[in-house]
Amino acid sequence: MAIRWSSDFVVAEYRELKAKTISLDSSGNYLFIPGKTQLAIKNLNQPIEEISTFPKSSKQEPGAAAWNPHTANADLLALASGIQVELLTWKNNAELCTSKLLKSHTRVITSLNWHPLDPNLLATTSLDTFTFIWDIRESKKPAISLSSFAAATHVKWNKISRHLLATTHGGDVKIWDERKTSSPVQYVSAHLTSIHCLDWSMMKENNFCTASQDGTIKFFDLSYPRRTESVINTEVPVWRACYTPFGRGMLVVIIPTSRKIENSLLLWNLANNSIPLHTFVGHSEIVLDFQWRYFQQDGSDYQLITWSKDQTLRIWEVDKYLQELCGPGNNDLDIDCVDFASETTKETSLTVPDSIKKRFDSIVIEKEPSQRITDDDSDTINEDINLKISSQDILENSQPVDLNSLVKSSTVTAVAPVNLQQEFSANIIIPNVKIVKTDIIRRMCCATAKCNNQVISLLINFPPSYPRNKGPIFRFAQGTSVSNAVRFKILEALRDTADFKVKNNQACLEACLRTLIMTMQQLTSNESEKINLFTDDKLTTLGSNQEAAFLPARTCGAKFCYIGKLVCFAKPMSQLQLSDKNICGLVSLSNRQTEALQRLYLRKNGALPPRTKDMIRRGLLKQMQNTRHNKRTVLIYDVSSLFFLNKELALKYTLSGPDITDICRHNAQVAASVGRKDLQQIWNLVLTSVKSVGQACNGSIDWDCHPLAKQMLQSIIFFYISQSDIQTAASLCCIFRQYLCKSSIQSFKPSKTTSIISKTPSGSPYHNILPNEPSNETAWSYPMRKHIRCNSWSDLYEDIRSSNSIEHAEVVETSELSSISNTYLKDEDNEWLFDRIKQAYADILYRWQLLSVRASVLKCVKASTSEKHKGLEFKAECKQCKSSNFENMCPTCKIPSLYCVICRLSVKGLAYVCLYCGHGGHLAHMKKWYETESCCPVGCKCQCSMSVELISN
Amino acid sequence: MVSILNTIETGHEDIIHDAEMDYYGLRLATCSSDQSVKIYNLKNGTQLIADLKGHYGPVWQIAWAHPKYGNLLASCSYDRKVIIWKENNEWQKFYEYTNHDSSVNSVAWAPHEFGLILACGSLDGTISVITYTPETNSWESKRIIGAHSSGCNSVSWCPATPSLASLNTSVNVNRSAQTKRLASGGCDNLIKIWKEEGDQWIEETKIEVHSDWVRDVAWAPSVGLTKNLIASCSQDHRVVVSSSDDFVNWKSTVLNTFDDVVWSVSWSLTANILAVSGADNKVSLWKVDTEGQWVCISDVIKGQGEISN
Repeated sequence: MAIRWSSDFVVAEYRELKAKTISLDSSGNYLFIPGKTQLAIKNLNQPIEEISTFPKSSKQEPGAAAWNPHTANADLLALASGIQVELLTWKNNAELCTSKLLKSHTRVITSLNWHPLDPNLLATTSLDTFTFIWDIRESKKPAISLSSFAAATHVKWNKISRHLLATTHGGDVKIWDERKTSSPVQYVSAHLTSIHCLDWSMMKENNFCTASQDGTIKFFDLSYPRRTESVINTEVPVWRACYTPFGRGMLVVIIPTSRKIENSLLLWNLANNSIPLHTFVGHSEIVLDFQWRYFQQDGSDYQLITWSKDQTLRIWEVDKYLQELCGPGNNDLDIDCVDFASETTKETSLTVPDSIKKRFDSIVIEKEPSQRITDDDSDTINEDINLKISSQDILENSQPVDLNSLVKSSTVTAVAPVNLQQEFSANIIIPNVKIVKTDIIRRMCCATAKCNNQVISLLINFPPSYPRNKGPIFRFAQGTSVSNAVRFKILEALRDTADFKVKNNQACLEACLRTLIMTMQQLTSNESEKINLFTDDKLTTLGSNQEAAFLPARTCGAKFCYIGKLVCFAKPMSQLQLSDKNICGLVSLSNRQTEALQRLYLRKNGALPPRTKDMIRRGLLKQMQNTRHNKRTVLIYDVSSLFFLNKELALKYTLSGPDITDICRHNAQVAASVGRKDLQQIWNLVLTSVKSVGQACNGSIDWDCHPLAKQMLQSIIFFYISQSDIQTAASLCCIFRQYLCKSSIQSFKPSKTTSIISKTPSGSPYHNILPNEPSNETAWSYPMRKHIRCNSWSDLYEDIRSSNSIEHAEVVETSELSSISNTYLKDEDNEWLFDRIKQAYADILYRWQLLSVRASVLKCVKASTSEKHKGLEFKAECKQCKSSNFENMCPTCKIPSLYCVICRLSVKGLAYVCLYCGHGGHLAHMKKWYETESCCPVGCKCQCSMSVELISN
Repeated sequence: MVSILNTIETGHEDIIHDAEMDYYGLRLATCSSDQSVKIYNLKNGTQLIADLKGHYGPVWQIAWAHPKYGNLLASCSYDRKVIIWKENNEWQKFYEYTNHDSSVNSVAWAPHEFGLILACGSLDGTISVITYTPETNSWESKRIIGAHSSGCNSVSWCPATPSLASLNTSVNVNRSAQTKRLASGGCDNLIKIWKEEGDQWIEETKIEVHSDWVRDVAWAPSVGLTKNLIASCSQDHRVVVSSSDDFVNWKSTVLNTFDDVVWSVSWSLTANILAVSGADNKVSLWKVDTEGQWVCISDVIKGQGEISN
């Protein structure tokens, strides 16, 4: 049991401040509290109510803040606000003024840290991926710039080595040497989720710890960057973890995820990773920041100053007893617990007094080796042995021993007699898993697992300290067939199992192999199971070492969809308010990894304190009662009124008919019926012009006879195109398709047959591209093309028309040719444009699912851009002119193309033809024939029913 | 007037990052940080018809394919995956594309005329163009390596039917065989235009107008347009509309400088109205007035469901 008592503390509430961080000056007398709207400085020697406040110079909400820790610059404060750092001077202990601005970052500054040894150096990190080191004597630009690819969230100078500093990027740590700025000297892939805090050891140059969202505090030694020296598992996200200035303790702030865990401020002894030493009880909400205050007059008295989200400041007395519980300080002993643990494996180098040995024996007798020792027990042992050893310390001056480490390792040897050799020699029988090789000297073994045609070959290395809180290292050997994603998940599962076991100092090989095969079965068999298994608590597929820049996620958007619909989504208003406080309120309702990601994304506005889950719930509940905009809703707006598209019009418009005047009259009525007076006028105008054209040309409609009608019609259409009124433009295009181009069909009719025959030497209009017609001696060429064979009537018409236009051109004087050609080009472009408009309109009709209207529009499209038919085609060849066509009748000779082989009559409707022998006829006749027969009705010995297979093969 | 047609309580457990209706306007797909993609039927009220789980990270964007290829939905996520979902009686994973090394930020289907082709823009700086071959039922991918040095945020396809202007410059080019083109925006503050030549995607040009990350690009539908238009928005608070006749020379005009970071731009079907939304949680609609100036025609204040003119 952890010892819990209430220390004496001072409480003061400054509700109006809304601060997120605090900073203590070098003397320990002044505390800087940068509030949301104003900055405050508290003299800790004065009564608790007194606080001096100062107006804030920038609009930005303050981010990180730090008082210069050196007496030389004791009056200097650094405050991150938005993308710049303000250097504030605390003048005469009464006045706070801005002295300098450090501007170079382009994104919000996430963290800053004064150099612990050089009073002029300040390191800042920002989401812009850069880490700058400023020399405040030269504040125009940073003295050193460290560039990484990922947004940096935390920076900390090494407390011993003056050149080293660490930055965190998501779950990764980069160690830099300020003398080598091009790249980090070390790269530690520490966590899978974001790191909230990093702290360097005060005693050992190379040691640091990281606290992460994943609920662990990990300890690293730079000499072995790939290895985690030890882990404190808190089960809940860790917000802060800092070495205590005394002993070997660590002060930890956790982010409670449920109401059950109420206290967020814990003190640990690093020698005992299983349970906190002390819990500071008092704050009702999470502690955002803390500072240690050192009483020099007394020598060893520390005060802990904490600032909580409930906007209260508390000052805790950390008395000598508590400090001693954290173990001896750096002056006395200097053996790292991990080093020690590895040394003890030699066993011989350590002499343990008999009294303690006896004690161990008794423990061994008392407890079965397999029995899991509870935390309570280990604590009592801890204390017991502590007492015994204290005397021994004096005796063994030649070999300094970290008492607590000794205690720890003692308990370990006491309860875990299982060594590696025993573990290897144990007969492990698991189906589908085979231990291929064991090597006790190199402390490794190799196992293979087979499942669902997949093979995994796993190398397991056992570190010397195994199984004392140190799990084995897993690697995949050659011959592993599973994908990287699966590997990742398997590793994850293995580590979990191993960690669980070694936390209780138990051997884990067998359990790990069982996990291996189980995980493998689940992963390789069923996709859906995969989801259930791994999405719950672990961020499985995200690599920790990826150089990802953190983009603030899009939380609001609008998309035009369908026809005149605007789909909008946004953060609900309640969330907005939360985000004003830089907290993503709804994050913690989802699972943990999303939470972590979300935090990162939302951190763009500055550092943010986490919010406890129950607080959010409470807050949300309240908002739910107050507002109705708390759910994640998508709104669909009907914005069709902004567009000129009307489904009713589309349905009612007539687009083709024998009499154009009737069409226009009808459409004008339709427009009036839906209240579009403007369109009614246009239709009437068109109607009038059609009538006038008719009058000018003696009843027949020939637009060439009229000087203005065609131009007017074109300009009307262009107007509607420019207004994006596709519906009106396309409707007009469809109705007047024949008259919008150069000449009309009526004027052409008399010369039809002659022109076709004389001007198309290939004899067939059904060639993809007609050869350019050198109809006269000029270089004029009219790019006449048909794009794709098509059976629509307009196609035929187009051919006739183009032939006619050539004829027309011949008549034109040579001097006029150039200008004519221009208009021709333009005409073709117009025609092309009109076709696009028709197609766009057809697409809209398709969306409306007005398929018959769409078909009638597409009928008016000349050059069909629909996809080319792939595979076999059936063509008929005219008996007379030998030209092939797709029609049921040759277009030139008017002779039916296909006669039924059964009834001998021409086929006009559905036909079936054997693709092999080419015989066929009416679908109904052929179907009936093949019901009983398999060969061709003509008697050509073709096995028609087989032919389809033959051809497809 | 503009009115709310439908309010869909998505039931997502986290922030929604994208929502899109299908071609016929009958269905709505949404994606969220809660790692799921949801599909709703909008006919006769709103029914959830599928809750697609398969991503292990926030899902950033979704895109419906043209219905002629069936009911297909593409989604991209922070987990570096692109998943194409297909409805065969029920919604299932059709294809999973895992070649990206970092978060995939954007997916966009090519115009249906080109076939079933999907472009994906990723934070790893590459753009993938993956093409489906129905004959072999297989997907083939091409990658544009180093498209945007520090990450690609958005991709958008050039419409299959060219604008009139691009024809005038090359009258003799076969109009039906259009070159495939893509626009992309990235963390290098650039908009790049890519075109397919042979089996390679090459950079045709780049537009340097933004002073910060480009968050979204949208190529306007070509209907009735005489020029090619691309709208882009950026962290620099600006929305820029760039126009070109020939895909090479782009003329850019700043539509507006907003108060906050702008996250998305979307063209209407007829390319005359642009919807802009940003970090300030607001949506505004923009249209060119008779003098050729962009004017805001309405503000949709989200969460309140009000529209002010």
